[in-house]
Amino acid sequence: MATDQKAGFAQVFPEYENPFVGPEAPDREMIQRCIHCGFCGTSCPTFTLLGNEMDSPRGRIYLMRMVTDGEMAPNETVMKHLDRCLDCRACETACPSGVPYGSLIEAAREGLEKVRKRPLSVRILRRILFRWLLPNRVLLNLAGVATRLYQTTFLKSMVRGLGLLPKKLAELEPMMPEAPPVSSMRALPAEVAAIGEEKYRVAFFGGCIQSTLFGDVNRAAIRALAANGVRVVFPASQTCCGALQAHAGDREAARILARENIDAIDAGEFDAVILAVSGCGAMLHEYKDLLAEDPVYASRAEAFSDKAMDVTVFLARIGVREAHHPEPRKIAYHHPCHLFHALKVRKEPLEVLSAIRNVESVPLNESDWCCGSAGSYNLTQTEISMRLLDRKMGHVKDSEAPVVCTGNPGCQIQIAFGARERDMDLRVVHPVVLLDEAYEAEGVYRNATLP
Amino acid sequence: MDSAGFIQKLTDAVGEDYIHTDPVALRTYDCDGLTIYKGIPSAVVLPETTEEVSRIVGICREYRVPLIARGAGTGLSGGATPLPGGVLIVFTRMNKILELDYVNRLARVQPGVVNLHLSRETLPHGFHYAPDPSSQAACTIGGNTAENAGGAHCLKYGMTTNHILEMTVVLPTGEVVHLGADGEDSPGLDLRGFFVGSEGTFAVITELIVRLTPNPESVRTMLACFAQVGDACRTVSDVIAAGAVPAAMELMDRYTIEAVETVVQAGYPKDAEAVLLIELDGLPSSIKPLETLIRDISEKNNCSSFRIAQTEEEREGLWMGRKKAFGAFGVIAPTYYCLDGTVPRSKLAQVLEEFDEISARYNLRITNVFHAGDGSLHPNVLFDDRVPGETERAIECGSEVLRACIRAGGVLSGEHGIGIEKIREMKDQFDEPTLEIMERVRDAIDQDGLMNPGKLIPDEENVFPVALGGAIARMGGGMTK
Repeated sequence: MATDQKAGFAQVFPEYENPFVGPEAPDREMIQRCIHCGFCGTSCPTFTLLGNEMDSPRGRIYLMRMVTDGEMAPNETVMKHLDRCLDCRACETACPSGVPYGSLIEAAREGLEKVRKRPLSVRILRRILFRWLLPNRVLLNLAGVATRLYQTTFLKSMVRGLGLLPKKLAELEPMMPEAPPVSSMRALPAEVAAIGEEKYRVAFFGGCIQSTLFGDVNRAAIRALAANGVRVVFPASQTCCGALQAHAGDREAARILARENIDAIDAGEFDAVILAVSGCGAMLHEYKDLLAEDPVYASRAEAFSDKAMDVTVFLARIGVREAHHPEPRKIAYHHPCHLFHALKVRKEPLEVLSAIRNVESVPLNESDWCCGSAGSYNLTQTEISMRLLDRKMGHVKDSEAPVVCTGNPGCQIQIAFGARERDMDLRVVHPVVLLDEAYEAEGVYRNATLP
Repeated sequence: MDSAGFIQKLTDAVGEDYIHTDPVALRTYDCDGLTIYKGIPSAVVLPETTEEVSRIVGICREYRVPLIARGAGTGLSGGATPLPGGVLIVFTRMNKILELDYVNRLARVQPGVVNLHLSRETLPHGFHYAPDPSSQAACTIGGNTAENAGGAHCLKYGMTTNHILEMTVVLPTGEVVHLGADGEDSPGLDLRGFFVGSEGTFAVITELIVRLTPNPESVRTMLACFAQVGDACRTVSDVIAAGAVPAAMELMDRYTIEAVETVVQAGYPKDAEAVLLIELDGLPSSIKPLETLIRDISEKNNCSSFRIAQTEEEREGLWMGRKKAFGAFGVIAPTYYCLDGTVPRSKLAQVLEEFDEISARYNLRITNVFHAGDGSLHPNVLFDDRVPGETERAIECGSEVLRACIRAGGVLSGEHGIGIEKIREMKDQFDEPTLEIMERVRDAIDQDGLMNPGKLIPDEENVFPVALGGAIARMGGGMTK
């Protein structure tokens, strides 16, 4: 079948190979599940903004179908519209036929990498970023320190003032997140004991960018877990989860990392594998699909994926300990796409927030809409990303909340950037950080050894 | 024809960002929600104003190129399927709510406004837009108007035509006219009523004034389950005969229940042969006796269980199953073909039995999920378009289903429109003189035959090429969906 498909394609489009053949290609049966009803359109941020059928989930599935069936060449127009997808998976929530759109688009992107003509410099950059930098804690921390130096010394004003950056970089430079002090990049302790009676034992997954830029969130999560009777183990040989690689079409890199993580964390030994970073969480859940064809790792990947859990889900399930936050405040909760649409985690973060007395959750319009961050989308599709951010910041403004809570570093960076650009006095914070602050203020952590 | 000049003029009219002529882009517009027939347009334009639409229509007329309007492309009769080579005018950018007037209970909207978005905007103010097709989260009010769409709550509140007060349209000449008035009555010919449901064969809609309906004081939603489809059908006609008009009364058969439960877990019992989803709305004091009446009638007709939603969440769950039923067929079958013949309520049971017989003869499964209260059926023929010949068989099977509806004293279409899909059967529905007057009216307005040609009214000179002579030749080499 696959050979026929390949041969037929070569006849029609001699200048292309069919990128969508083989076990890793978009699943033709799942493409067939799309009944072309169009219910997904209004859920899709890019269709809503652009109004083009090719920029809707239905249109993109149609393109995949036609390339798969050899009726269309995987040319630049096809790529343009598939590249514009945020992979936010809001369409999966809207779809009445259960089309697994996320896995279709990722498989399509992997396929397109085979036929895409990227300049050598870009290919080298991608390789450095995906295969070397993200999986390497030391390099990543060095980059974090360099960013910190740049942002806190005369360097930034000098570079900006002299216009030293090329145009595209100058445009992206302000989007750089504020790097934290070096102390927050330090490694997590190998083990943290539960405060009081130990009821659960979990492994903690740090995440690469999260550990460098949001190490404090990880530590807050670990402290809050300890306060809820959880012993937290941090297996040191874990690495980057592979999500950015997979979204960008380098699923092979993601597979390599997945195997490393499965080897590093013996999931069977723990009640759960906990994360405080939702983008990675969705990826860990996908390991079972990513490695489904791997004879050695398939079953271990499944066990691993089943154990992965967002910190808010775990806390909500075990019945999170209540606390009183010292400062009364209104917060607006923004749903990270991968938590809301991919993992269907909707109520738990709000349950955790409602355990904090003195914190009032106010409605945020379109809180389940992508903020435009979407992995590296804000770097590759800056214009659309900024239009989405503008929409998001408008809703944040309307909510009148001085704090936005959200569980993903990408969203945090994007929304914080939006606030800086608009001179808004806005705090953007992971829900578990507020919980941690409340525990701290109540003295829950007294006499405990914590990170 | 000077096609470069033609495209250049269109580009000047809308701006180069809002015209598509790339073959890849055009291909994604080759059909709407009905995927059996396809046609590839020569250009897709996305105008922003009535003036731009008027200019586009003028250019098409000058070059004698057919034009087709499209909202969200969710229609099920092929109303927005492009005539090959025609120009497709897409309304996704004309999606603004221009004015909300709660005192006079009306809204002024552009045609690309999504049906549910209007209600979402007005609900907190105590109003909603009543016609609610199952696709309401995606379909547009312009498309609804062109097709005179229905919906579950149209049993009590009426079809789209009952909610359109005034429309601004661009005539085939490019002239802009306003039909109807923003009050309850307008003097002169009722051209508004005339244009609603004309499926884009008269003019292109560019603005609408629609009625806003006050939200009901209270709502009760119930689910009655039956071991026999016939018992469920009898319940429907008995309820209406007893003088009650629920806001909605929906029937779903066993296959539908199976599909729905696989996808959304709406809480329908999997062992039932049919369920009735019934909704009452109004003052609590008026609902209570109706609720008792419906329960009594259901029990008299051997219902196996009867449940009333106790919370808003439970109510939404029950409706979720109904709203997502069509999509759910994608899970139990590779392809489906949804029809919308309508029959008198008293004939429901008899017609469903006839469908069973047709289904057996064609060896294709037919599922039923429909607006039972007004006899508006939705038989779905399930098939696999990848099996050679099966698409053609499904179309023939569908045609027999429609003829069965007509024989039972019903009509071809309850709410999806005729489009290309049911154009052959128009001759089964109407006699020669009736069809002729329709044709003469259309020709008087669209003298050049450029407005969505080949749809709605059968016309020997203007047959949509894919359905030529009744034989079905699919475009694009064997693709459905």
